[in-house]
Amino acid sequence: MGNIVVSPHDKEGQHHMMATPTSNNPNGGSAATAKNKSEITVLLLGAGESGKSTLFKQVQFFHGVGITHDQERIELIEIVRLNVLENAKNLVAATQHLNIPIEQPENRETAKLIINSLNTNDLEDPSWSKRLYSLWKDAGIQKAYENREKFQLYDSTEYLFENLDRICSDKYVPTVVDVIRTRTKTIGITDMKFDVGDGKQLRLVDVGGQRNERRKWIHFFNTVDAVVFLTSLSEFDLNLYEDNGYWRVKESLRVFNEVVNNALFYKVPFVLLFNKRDLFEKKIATKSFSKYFSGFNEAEEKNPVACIEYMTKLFLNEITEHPLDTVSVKTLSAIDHDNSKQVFEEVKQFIMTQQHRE
Amino acid sequence: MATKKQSSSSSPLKNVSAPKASVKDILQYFDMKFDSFMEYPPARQCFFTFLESTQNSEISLFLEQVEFFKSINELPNSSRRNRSFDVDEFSDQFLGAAGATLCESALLKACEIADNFIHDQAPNELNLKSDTKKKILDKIEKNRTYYGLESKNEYNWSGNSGKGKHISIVPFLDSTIFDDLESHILLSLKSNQFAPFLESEIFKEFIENQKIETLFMLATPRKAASPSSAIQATSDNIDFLFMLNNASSTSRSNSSTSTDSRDGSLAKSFVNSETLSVGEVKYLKSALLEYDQNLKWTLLTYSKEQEIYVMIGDHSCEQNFGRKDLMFYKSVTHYQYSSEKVFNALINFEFRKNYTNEPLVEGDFVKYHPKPSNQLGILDSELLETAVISESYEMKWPIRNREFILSCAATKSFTPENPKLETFYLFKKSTQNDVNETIRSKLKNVRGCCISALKVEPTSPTSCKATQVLFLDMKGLLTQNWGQKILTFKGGSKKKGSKTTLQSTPQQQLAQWIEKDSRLSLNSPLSDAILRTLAENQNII
Repeated sequence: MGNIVVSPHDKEGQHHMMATPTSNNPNGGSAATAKNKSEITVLLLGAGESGKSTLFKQVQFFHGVGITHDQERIELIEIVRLNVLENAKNLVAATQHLNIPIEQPENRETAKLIINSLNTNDLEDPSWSKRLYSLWKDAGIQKAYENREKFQLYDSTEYLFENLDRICSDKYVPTVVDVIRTRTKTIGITDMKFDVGDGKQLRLVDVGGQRNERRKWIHFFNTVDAVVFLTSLSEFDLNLYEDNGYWRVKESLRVFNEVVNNALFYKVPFVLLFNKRDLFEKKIATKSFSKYFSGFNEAEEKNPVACIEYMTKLFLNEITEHPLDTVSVKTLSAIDHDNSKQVFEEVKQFIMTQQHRE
Repeated sequence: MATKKQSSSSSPLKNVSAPKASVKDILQYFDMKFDSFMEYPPARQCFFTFLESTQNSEISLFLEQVEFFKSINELPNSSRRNRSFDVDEFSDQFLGAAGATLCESALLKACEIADNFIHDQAPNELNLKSDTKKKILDKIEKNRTYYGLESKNEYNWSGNSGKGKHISIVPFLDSTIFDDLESHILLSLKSNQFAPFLESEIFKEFIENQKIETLFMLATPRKAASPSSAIQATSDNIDFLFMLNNASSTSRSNSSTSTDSRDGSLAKSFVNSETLSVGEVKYLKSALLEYDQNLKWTLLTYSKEQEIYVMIGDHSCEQNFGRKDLMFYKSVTHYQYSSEKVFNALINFEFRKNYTNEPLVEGDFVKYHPKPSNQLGILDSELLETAVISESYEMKWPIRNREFILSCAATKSFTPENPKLETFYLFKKSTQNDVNETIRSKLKNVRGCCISALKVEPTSPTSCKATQVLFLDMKGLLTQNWGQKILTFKGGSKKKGSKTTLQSTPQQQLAQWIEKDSRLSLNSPLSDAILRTLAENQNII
């Protein structure tokens, strides 16, 4: 992500938390030599859409960072509306692809406009709220939505469509929740710093998760003090954004294997976060979990605890090098403010304790 | 040029240097525009440097390569078709239909881009959705195979059975193949990297060293510095006019009582009266046209015949208009015609054409208010003959079109020494009340607020100086374009793909109009109405 930034010059006299890269060269030599541990670098890693940036945004908000300028809110308006349009476009394209007709003629008209000409500025007009909502409720679109594992769609779709009456208005100002829910594919690297007491600073680094982005990770691996690895629980029925023929769980496991067993992280505290617990619990109520995991007992598939236990085992099995006592496993709903706050606090404590022990 | 002498004595042309502002100030007054950053090479380079620091250099490389690819295609046909492909008749027809097949070097470049940026595991692979990749690679690979070009990549394309003629459908390739991809990439840069960029040291260093002219190219002047008003532009307009009203009420006899609520005073005041009064005209004259006495104008750009100034509010502005953060533009232009001719032509010109050759699409004459007959003497409260007009401006995306309902009153005065030398004025203000229902229903665009004044004063019997001052409340967009167009014109740099460059100088344009006007008498109902107010209102101030 990166659309929420800290403005270094608006907090009077405080030490600033920067959401931007702090030097031209994040892997620069300084950290390696000055290992006095006044700065603790924590990497957020994981495959695409595992929730790294959502957690990053939450942490920014906990620390009073996030939207500090109204100007930024204005910029966010466009990003939220782009999300709405992109979701609508993806759904309409899916109806064509899946051969599900949109039922109502007026919704077909709306769909045509979405594909051809609609832009974010049009959404200032409140009449779009009704038109888009009507499209969203169209039986065809809903059927496509039920089959969303067959194409790429953001998790925020339902939320955004249910909030159209606010978004489609010239008075619209994005809320914190809107910002958290908005999907922006992270490219490259973003970081922020904040004080954690004892004269120490925590530097949290957020990165992109798709295959091409992962090649960039290596550039800052050698200055890391802790790794937080995220994986999405709700991805068990999905394929990759960057490779439609590849199962997301397989990719997550592969990436996890590479990261956790990397020699550079051998001595580093490692946290594995199973994210999107909220979505996951909703999903297993209607979808079969065991269909995707041959080793899982079908009778237990509606029990989230059993499912998560199974997933935990799958992931921990990948660990061949890393000492298990420096690995911590937790579940998370990154879109939930309170849950994120609590989990991140625990993660921080875990990392600090491990640091201390060392 | 004879006219030039006069201007240099009155305006501190050479002394105005671009003020060096801090980043904080700059960001307070300007909104940086992503698109402009990408268009202006030094700014783009600066942004690319930032991208390197966030590990996104593959994106800048890609954008550069696509630019290069497009440039190959822009070469004239004769020079790029040094070796055309031996294509069969079918594809000759097929490709020839659109008239712009790729030449060999362009096709090779397209393949190179695919190999370098799009294929899985490509050395500089971009972050793309698999459908997007598939779609574009499908086209490129089929062409590559068809034309027997070698692939660095062992890309095993399904359905291809060797070289050439066996493939029934070769997707048509033209110079737009990467357009969607490019805009997708730009969008993700805009939403993901631009905001952090604006916080970076790299940006700070860059922007602090830019001239104010460049700032106007890269950014939109921000109308309001206070956070709430930046969002609530509409209520802000009212605020501004409300304050203007308060300021002006001191300069004219005001019969309304002070017990009025805010809304009540609005209803009876300046803002709400369609007819301009002597007091208002005097106020506009002193607040706008004579504002240069304070020398607070910053020279934005100038050419031999024209100077454009901008005023970003100061103390004096605050006194006059109640706010510091307003922007006014002033242009001073010299013409070699008599003031009367120029004034007539400008009126005609203004309501036919426009400042930028583009935004004004229509002007309508709405209503005429004659002077009340029973007025005594010249008091500030006396009303002038006023023409009410509507103007609509077509704005570029993402700004909505604007509508103005304007009250216009023209007047003129003589120089006692030489009654032949007349100075002409035109004053305009927005009226906020609904002029009439038919017009109201036509207004589907955003209502804009405008205050402007024009003075054409003779410098000799056959030359004159026209000063125009305007404040346009539309988040600065129109005025910015205005300044920007002139900058473009001045620099002589025609930007690729831009359809709006001034073809001739203001003088030449006006000369055309004056010549045309004398031949055809092309006055519109609108300019007729304005000229009628001029005849009725003369010598009133």
